[in-house]
Amino acid sequence: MKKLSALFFGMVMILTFSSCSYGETELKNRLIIEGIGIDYDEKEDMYDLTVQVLVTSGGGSDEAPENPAVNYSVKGKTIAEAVGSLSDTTGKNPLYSQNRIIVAGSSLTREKIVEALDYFIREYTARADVLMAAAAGDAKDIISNSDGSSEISAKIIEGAIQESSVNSKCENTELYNIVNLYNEDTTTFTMPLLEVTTDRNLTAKTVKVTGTRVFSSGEDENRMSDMETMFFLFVSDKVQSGTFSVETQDGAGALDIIKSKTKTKVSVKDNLPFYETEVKCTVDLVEYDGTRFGNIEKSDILKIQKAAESYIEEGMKEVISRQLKEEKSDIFRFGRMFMKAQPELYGKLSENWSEILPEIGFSVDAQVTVRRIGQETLKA
Amino acid sequence: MTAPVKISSFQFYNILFLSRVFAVVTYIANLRIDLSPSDKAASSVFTALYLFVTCIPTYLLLRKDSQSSIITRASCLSPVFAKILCIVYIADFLYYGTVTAARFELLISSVMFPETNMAFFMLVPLAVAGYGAYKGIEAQGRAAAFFLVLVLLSFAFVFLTILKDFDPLNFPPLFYEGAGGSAAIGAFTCARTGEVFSVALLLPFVKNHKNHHIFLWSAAVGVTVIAADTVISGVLGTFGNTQLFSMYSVSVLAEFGFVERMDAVITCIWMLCAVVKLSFTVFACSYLLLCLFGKKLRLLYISLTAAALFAGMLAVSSSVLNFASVVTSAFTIYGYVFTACVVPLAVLLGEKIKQNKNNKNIENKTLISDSAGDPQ
Repeated sequence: MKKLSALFFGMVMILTFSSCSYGETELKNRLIIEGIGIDYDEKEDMYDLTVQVLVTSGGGSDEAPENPAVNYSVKGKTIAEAVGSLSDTTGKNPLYSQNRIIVAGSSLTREKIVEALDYFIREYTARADVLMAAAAGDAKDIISNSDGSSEISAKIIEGAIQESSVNSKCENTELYNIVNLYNEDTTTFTMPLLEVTTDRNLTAKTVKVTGTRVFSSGEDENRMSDMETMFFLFVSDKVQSGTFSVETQDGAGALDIIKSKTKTKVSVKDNLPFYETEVKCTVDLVEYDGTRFGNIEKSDILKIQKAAESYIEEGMKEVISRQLKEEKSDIFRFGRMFMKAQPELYGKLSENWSEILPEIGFSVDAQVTVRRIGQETLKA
Repeated sequence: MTAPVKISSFQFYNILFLSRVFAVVTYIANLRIDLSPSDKAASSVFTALYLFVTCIPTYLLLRKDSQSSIITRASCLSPVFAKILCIVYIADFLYYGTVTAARFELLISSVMFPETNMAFFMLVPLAVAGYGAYKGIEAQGRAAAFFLVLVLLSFAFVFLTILKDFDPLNFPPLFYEGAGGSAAIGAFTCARTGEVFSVALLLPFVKNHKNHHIFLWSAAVGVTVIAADTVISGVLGTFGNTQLFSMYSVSVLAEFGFVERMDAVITCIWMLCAVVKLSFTVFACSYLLLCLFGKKLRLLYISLTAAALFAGMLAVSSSVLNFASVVTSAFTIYGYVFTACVVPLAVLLGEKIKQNKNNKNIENKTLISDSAGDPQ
């Protein structure tokens, strides 16, 4: 009897526990989404979605598909409506779990982005750790751009952001980070800024990370260059590695960041928050344009260290000043730090935080240590 | 009812631990009160404290007699009282079992297969739970020992790989808007630990019960709840408040090198806890029905309980509003306090009164016999 039961249930499992069983969505009926670009058409009051989808047909045939991905453009009052019309057009169900990136066009304001992201937070196949980026122009141009290779452009963009993030040229921003930063009363969220650039021969277009878009509440668009972004990351303690150059009287040096740690202390001065930011950075000297090869002197290294410290300090001062005083944007989560340090005073100041930002005091201090100088010798 | 098969104290509490872990992984943030990540983490400390305190009545009960079931002891006081207790316990178990099945269904239908008809799907775990209950507590104990290893490994993977995303700035000042919210949520979370009252109930199935294990178990549950809430708050921040199942959202982010997108595997492992919990619930209900009616119709009782859970699950999870009103109902907390605290204390008090009465009777009899024997 036991053997018969086992045989019966075994047959039931073989026939029913299959991904191709009746009623399930098969792979060929899925739109495997690789990247999404969201633009906003103000005239029509509609979202304009550019969706990059993996081509799944032809996998088993001798000839591989010419393009590994195809782009669709759909519009809708809501993201769900636009996605619905995508399903109507293709006859397939979208699958977001493979989605690498969501790009927001420059037409999307801070509020519009939050509206649009709600769909991706609710959708069960979407992932909370999908990369977020902003386009310098239309998101459509970023997603549909192809450099002529057989690579999927969303994959290339994802790689570019991750590489730039490692080199401290942008912050790796994921969907759930945006939600968190938006929910903080005083913080302004940011995204890596993408731009389509043309090579020297004007033949191929590539997508490049050119800095950071700051989603301030103001009318004007707030952007930071890639170098400004590096100093923003220094202040925010998010520098992983990267390269920067400094100049001394005797020559210029290029430095590779090995590690960096930032500590920010919050105190109160004249009933306003005061921030003391201290950076400890370890670097390797990878190039020195002195007057001769080898035999770099100890004094030269000390000068480079000093120059690097000034460079980081000046850069941080500039980016803090610009964002706090000119743009009135708290991208450094200073408000959040103040809330933790002085909750009562924060309660009084937080309502007018953007008005208080220009009045906030700060100091910066950088300590740089040159760890290695490469294969050339040292003259002690 | 005779208890032919017994399990060790460790196996017993292991079943209870896994059963409670399911409540941890299906925790729904801010269902009642909107708490900041810090306060949410603090609420878990309250949960641990409440749990410890509410274990004390059961411990006092066990200290006096760690062999007999609370039903047997109640029937010594009054057979009617014992019958009423059986009904109360069945109602409680059915409530907890229904909520567990509904949470299980909601988890699957919200994050895994929203396009599949869950009514049919839920028959499978309930059938497995019924089969587990039919095989008895020993089979459950053995399965739970194996599941514990998997569940602990899954937690270790998630917690260790997610630490890199832990951000202290996600924690605003503690009790910024008062401690009341944390204390209340702590109480509601504690009230999801229906396993407490099954300790006194299922003692006949435990060999050499170690009384202090109840506190070790409550500490293990407390640590798990605190760790889970701290990780959810520190990693997800306020995003965790936007998620229906925040523990699942944490598992989505857990990755290590090329080992990524493990959420499906981890969720499957966590589902084993649901099977343990449902199986244990069905077993406890069938035991209570056996105590209530006396007739040895175990298979019928098991089938009836599983069918009741299935029907309850269908009713509760038919809409998210039904689900919300059932899981946030006051019955959770009152039912918990009544069965975990009031009932054990009432039995203890009843025994004390009965003992005093007996002592008095003996004293009177002694006095009468003494006076009768006195040759005045």
